[in-house]
Amino acid sequence: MAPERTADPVVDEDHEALLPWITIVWNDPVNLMSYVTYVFQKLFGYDRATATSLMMDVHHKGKAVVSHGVRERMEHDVARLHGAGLWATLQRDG
Amino acid sequence: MGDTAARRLDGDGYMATLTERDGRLQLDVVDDEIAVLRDLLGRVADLLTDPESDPDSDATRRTPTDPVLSRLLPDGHRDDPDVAAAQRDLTETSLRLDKRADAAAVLAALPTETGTALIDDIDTWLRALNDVRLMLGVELGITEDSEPPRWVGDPRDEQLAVYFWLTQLQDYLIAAVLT
Repeated sequence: MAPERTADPVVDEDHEALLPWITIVWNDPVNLMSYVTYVFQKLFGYDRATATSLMMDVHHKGKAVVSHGVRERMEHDVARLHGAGLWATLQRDG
Repeated sequence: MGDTAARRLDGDGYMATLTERDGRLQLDVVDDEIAVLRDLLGRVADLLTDPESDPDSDATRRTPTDPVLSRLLPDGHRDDPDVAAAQRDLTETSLRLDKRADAAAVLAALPTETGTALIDDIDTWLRALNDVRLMLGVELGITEDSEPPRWVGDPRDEQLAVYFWLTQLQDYLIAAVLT
């Protein structure tokens, strides 16, 4: 059954803005493992172990979710990752 | 890049020397290396020159058709063109500016001849060198199985040698910043 939609566009927008999104980093053949780890530490404040673990997921599984939050935050994270040369995308969580 | 540079870079591999002095990193580079870096950083900066620099333009940005540009400025979503376009409208202008500023900062730090480049901000250098590697990576069709050329026989080998030289240089810079 489809959820009832609100008629109020303002409420709808607020709701939309609060939905969870994720930032994904994809594997690529150029970025060095050491560099990817460093970027994760630098941009997200992850400790070395967390950053390394995420990097290994990117390397072995082809991708890793590196952050989640509202869309605006993910847009910011993707921009910073692109700035560092990593291949990142954002999408709705789930 | 001239033949001399290719031989140097292909010969003993890593030539540029990274040292620390008074708490600051510096890179000793020779003429050939400076020439290579200037050429490549200049190419990245030129490529990123914004064709839509009019800030009042309402034109929606699209995925660049140039394969190097589309790697330097990738889509923000794999399947949803609306999300990708929104991300591009939001961030592409500043990404182009930031990347060009990174390249310009490294270019400005390079000595005019064999000498020393002071590394003010290591992150700027890492980003700029990485953008150059991304450009070469696309142009050379680099895969995870790519290896340095055993000898330099044609222009592609030269570029491949340069790519792996830059890889090594970047690895040294990261090692320096992680310790």
